[in-house]
Amino acid sequence: MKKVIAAIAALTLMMPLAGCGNKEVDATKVATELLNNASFAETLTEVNEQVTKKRLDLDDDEVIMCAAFKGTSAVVDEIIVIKTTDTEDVEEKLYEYVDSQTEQYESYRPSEVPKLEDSLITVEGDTVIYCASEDSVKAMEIITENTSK
Amino acid sequence: MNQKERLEEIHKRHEEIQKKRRIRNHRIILAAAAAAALALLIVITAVSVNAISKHIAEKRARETEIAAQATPSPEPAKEIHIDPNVISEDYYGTSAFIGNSFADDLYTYSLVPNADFFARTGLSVDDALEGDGDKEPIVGELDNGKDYDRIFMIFGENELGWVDPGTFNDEYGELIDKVKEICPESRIYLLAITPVTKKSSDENINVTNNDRIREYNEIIKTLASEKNAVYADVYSAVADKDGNLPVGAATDGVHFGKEYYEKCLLYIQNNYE
Repeated sequence: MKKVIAAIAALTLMMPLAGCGNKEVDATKVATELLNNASFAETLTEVNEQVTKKRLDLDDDEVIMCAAFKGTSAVVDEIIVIKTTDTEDVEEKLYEYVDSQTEQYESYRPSEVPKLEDSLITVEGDTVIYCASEDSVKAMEIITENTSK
Repeated sequence: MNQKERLEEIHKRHEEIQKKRRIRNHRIILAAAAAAALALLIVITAVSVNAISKHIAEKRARETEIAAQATPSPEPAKEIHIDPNVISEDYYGTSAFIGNSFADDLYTYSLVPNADFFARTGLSVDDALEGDGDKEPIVGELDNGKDYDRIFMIFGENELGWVDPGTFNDEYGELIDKVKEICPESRIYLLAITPVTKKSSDENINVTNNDRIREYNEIIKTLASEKNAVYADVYSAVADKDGNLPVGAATDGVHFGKEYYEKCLLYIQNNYE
């Protein structure tokens, strides 16, 4: 009997901890906070969800919600926040995207490559966040502030 | 007059008559020969004219056929109502854009959401035609089974620094030929290279200055004429009175934002069929 009570108590204690791996992230809020407070070389323009999915080669059914902003081709500054059913695939596609951008800009605008090398790709719950900016430390602080609760 | 004299007179008269006859016959023969020659000449001329006319007609028919295959006329039955201040979906709906960062930014801004884009920042005409390293030639992506009414080609900015502009002329010409081969029914538009700001022009990085841009635009314009394509002068769509991109249009002096792409699209639809 004592062993059963102890097991139930242990399970009860574990439940709140299990909830931490499934935190809810407001993709639009994170993207907007980055847009307004991170450092970018120029004003970023909102990018259509279809364009973002096509650019990253994502399937429709793996994207629950998407918020993206991008500069002109003169810069690599960009924000992509995707709430997804498959964080692993989206994360991998973002790494491939950064590799592709790096290859292009190595010959086109080498001065932009350090921003790609310092760019952030982070998974927060069911959301994958990408940010290439002029200050990745600041961008990471903004992401942490808006995803830790 | 005795017999002898009479005979002599008769012979003389005979000779005269024969002479006259000979002359007359000679004249008849000459006349006949002339007539025959004239007739022959008439016949030969008639035959030649007929042959030449037939040849010309056949040549025109061949040229017309080739021209029809190369650049079909717009469908007269389909009238497009275009609001000059709104980017027309009817005009751009069944279009493709192939080119460099200009095309890539157009895609990013979703100004023509139903068009297809085959674009890459930094793309040049030779890379588009032959591929680059392990990348497949982007021109091959046009071969996808779709019929495009219009194909907009945007090249030149990345080739301004080439040592010989003639190379750009030759390679762009080959690329256009390839596009025509893949999409023989499409009308092709060659967009001018847009100007840069005066500051960027003065900096002249990689020979990017407005004099050089205008020189290349003359090459593009000539190519359009030679290849039966449309030269779309988007340089004029965005340039200020001095031929520069206005200050503030682009943070790097070269790549402008959404507003200027809208100007270009409106300029094209309002000026070119």
